[in-house]
Amino acid sequence: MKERFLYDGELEKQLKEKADQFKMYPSDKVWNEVYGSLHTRRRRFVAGMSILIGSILILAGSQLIFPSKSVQGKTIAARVNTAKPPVAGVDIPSFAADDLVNTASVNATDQKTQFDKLVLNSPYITSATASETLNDPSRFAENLPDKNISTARERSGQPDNIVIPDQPGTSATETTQIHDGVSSIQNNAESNSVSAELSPEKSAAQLTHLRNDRYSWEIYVTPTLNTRYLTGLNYQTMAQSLQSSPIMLVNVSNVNGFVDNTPVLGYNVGGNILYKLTKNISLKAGLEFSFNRYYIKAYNSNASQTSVALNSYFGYISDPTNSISATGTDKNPQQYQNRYYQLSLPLGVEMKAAGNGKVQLRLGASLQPSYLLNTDAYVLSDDYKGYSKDAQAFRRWNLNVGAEAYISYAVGNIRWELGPQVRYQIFSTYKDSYPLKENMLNYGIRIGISKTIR
Amino acid sequence: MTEEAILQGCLKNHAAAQKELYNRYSPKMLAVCYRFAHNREDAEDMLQEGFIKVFLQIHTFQNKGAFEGWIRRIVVHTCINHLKKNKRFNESVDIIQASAIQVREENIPSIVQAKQIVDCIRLLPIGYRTVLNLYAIEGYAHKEIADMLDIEESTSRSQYTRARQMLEEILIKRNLIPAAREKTDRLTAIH
Repeated sequence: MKERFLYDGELEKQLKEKADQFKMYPSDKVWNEVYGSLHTRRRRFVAGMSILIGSILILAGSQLIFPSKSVQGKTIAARVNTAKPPVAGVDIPSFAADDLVNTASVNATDQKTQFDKLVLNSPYITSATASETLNDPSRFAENLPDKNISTARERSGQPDNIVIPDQPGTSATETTQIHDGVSSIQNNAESNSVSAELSPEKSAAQLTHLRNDRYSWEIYVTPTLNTRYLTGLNYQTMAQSLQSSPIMLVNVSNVNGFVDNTPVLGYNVGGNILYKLTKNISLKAGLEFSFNRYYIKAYNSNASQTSVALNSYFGYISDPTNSISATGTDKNPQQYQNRYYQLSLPLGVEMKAAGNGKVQLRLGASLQPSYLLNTDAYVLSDDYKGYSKDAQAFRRWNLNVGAEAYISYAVGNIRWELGPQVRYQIFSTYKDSYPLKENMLNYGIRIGISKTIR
Repeated sequence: MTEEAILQGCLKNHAAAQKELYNRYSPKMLAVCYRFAHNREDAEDMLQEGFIKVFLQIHTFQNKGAFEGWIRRIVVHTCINHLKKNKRFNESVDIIQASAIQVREENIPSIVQAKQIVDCIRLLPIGYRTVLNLYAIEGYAHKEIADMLDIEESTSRSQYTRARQMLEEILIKRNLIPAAREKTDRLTAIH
């Protein structure tokens, strides 16, 4: 640009001078918009995580409020079946139901083998329908020859439990064999204490469900108490200068003795999808939002330069307007809160330690890669004398470990969960270049619900 | 934090350095925008757009000349582009015909506050105001102004002459400069 440095007159000179003296302070909105435009990656991450959390919550909510049709259908079928007296002619489908129900405690391969055997041996099912049924077990119910069975019974006048098929190719020996098979499987059913009054429709539906029962979801909230552990330099030489402080419990070997950290209530809220690996062990993955905070005590100071030895690209950082003093002679120190907002991706394992279907004791552990969304926190200076706010001092990515033990209690389709949870932050809250290390610990009571996805 | 450190931080897209740069220059730059804009809201929009450009183009700054001057040029161009999107602005700069008007030289008493001057400038019609801002305060030549505003150079000159005359009248009315003296006093042609 070819600037015109020489002005034609005094008026222009003075206009420029006066105009340049004028300053206006923009609203916070402007910087927020600028920042948002420049750091879209972070915004995308937050948006993505929000969508994921939202989806889990919507899924959970919809399962709670509107159970799936298959579950409703199953309930209706069960009711209808209970209302009707047992029909003699459905003996074979009936043992099929027993067989399928029992497979809850039998492995999937056995179940498939028994089912195949049943279908292939059944005199009511032609080779074509058998083939269809093998390919799609849910069609088993469609292929049942209810009409034929009823007709056969009517014609023969045979009592219940005796089946005479109305098909020319079936011999008496075959029928006996079938009854033998029925008896053995029924005995097996009784030994497993499973009800034998299930409809064929339910049998088929349940077989399909067995494949999906491995997945379940859970959502939970944990009111937590948060505290921190500081480690770092050993400032024995500082003891004398710090002894006068009323809030310092002078402990020269441990930095935690120099500061006062009072736990404050925070919370973790999240959701998991669980995959049942074996009968008692499940894998889980999900999302968790954590709001952690604790009190620090400090004195207000008049913009003293807090020494935050952060070796960043611009050397020492200190914002005098945001600094407070950790030491002083004032008898009434102020309480400040350090707040952290974190999003985590818990990946873990859960196991049933004890209990039955109704009440269970479950144990869980997880590794949680975490991202620090925001902070409102003071950083203790490396001389332990002051606190300063400095967003650059904080590590964005971290790793937490979590463990929980809870009682799971089934109420209808939902399981309620209640028990202690603990979470520890492995890496320091601060970047490696900062001499002090802060590791946070949260503990609280977890309250949650879970439900099998069908 | 030094200017060099801020620059290096901004080049690495560090939020703290960007915030520092913003805090340091945004008050001045908002004042620049305010002189061009219809209202404060428009001025903040211009400022926001300008700073986004500054951060996105910061790698093009070659340490030749003042950093502030470089930022200011981006902000001014952003303001002009913003104004050019406004139909009223385009009409305003076109309707004034070039004419040779001679105006008096007056000194603004030093006691006059900066805000009062800026308020007076903002009373001018948008076309006048823009040319006066660019020529008298930002230091652009009429040729450059003509290119920026897509007008004739002569139009820029005449706009400025009229703007200057009108501003003087406003300053006199508000007692910010002494009342008109003899017409024969130091007449000066503006180029």
